[in-house]
Amino acid sequence: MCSKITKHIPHIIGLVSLGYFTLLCAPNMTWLNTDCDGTIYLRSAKYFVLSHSTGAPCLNLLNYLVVRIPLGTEFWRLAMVSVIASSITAVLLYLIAKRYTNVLWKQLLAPAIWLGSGLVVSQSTIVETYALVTLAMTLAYYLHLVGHNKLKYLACALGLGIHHLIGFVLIPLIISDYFDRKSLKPALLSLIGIAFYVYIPLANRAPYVWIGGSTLNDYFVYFTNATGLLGGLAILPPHDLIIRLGDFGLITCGGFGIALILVVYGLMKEFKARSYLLPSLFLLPLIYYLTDFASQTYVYCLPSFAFGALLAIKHEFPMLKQYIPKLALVTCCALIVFNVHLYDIGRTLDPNLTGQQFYNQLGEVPEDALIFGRGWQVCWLYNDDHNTSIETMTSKFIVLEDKEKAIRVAKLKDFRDRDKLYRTFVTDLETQEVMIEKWTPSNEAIEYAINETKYMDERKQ
Amino acid sequence: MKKVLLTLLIPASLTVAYFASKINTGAWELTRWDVHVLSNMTALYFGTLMLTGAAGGLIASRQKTKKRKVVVNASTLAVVLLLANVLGRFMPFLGYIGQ
Repeated sequence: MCSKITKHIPHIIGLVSLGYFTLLCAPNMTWLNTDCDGTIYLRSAKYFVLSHSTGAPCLNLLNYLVVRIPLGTEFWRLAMVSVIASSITAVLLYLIAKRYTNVLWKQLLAPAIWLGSGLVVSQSTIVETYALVTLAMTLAYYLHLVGHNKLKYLACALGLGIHHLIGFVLIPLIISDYFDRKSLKPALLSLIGIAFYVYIPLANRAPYVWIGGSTLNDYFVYFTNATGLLGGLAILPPHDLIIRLGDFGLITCGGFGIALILVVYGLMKEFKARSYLLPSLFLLPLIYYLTDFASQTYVYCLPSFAFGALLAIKHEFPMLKQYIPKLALVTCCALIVFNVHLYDIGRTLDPNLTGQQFYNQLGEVPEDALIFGRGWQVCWLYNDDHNTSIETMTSKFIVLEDKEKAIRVAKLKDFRDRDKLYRTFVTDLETQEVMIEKWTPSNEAIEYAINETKYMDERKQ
Repeated sequence: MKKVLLTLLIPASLTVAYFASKINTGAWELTRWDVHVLSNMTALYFGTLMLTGAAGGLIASRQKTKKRKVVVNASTLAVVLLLANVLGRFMPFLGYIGQ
């Protein structure tokens, strides 16, 4: 009887996770959980066009099929890809934990840490790449443990078609295989992932919003134009560094809860045993975020929660052996309940669905207007949905060259003179509600708006 | 007693999780767009200094006498400080550091 139940534990974990994430899943367009990319991927799925660099071809091809399933809203269908991916990751964590310990409740601690983490929940209920790439990473590690050398690199190939985060598993696995004197030939299988990128020229067509055109140079720029994604965190003056350390502490302590004690202990034990694979899988995404210029890359820490959960259960904790892991399990359960309150998109979080609200507001804007501010991703989707040509413009994130600045100023003045200029402003930072209003600025106000390196206009709260 | 104190970590974890949710949902993200922005050049600047320091440290670790180690370490420190000063006066670092 007992073995019968044990046999079904992975299914139960999968179903519980699926129910949990589905409950919290975004019912329609939202900007919460930094899901500004959601509409980009939705547009790519619906119209077979490019998403932002580096393209996420594997995800977009999958989305292309999923968005055509007549169930719920289009956005929800794509968000369910993240839901399913994270649910499978929970099952994989349990299966890996089973290899590390025979104690059932300890085996359950690994998926519980995953489900209890706020960051995991926030990224598993929206349209994004991170849940899927974390699944590919966890799968590669699982296959590494069970000795499927070829399959693990095929999992990496899948990840290569989703997000560059896969490098944080692929490279350590290759190094690990090298030191274990295993053949590195199977690693070549990961290059299959490059084949997904055939999608890029196929989906590249006018209007070119993410890419300049279809020349080789355009493709080169497309793949290399990401700014602020490699180091560059300002440390002098230390204002940014202090904020980052604070954020980092909150995300890790708030995500792991008491299990963080076990994670740190596991990390130390691994280092002592000169076993560096699991620690590097855990630490690399964290170090990436800690040193990265762009604050929104906290979402890149997602794989660290999967591998951290494994570190937490891999070694027996010496002090209060049973008590601390059990306490960690109870905390994770409490966090899961807490998350239902904190992260339920459409109910407790973003009840008005701000993204969808913005989309609906676009109906009141003339079809050849220019909107200054945020929401360009939603505008592009709206244009394709309604065959309109609403233009968008935002002040550039870091630095704007004088020539480009002059072009933008001239364009804004032109649209103002034609009475077709609109702008956006945030009315509530908590819900990120954005309103569109008609804008008739003075020349000075236009100069100010263009020179301002902020996202919003002067009405920013 | 230990157990009681450890149990208090549960409400503490939930409190931290609440504040972490402000980051996770992106609600705090918008307020951070106007933080003081430097650039990847900052990483290059400090990377160069750190690599120089590390190279000096490596050379020092290979010295056999204590006296030599101290001399190499002191020289490295001097070179790093000099480099920090000199590099800080050149483009592309000028204007980024200390703004």
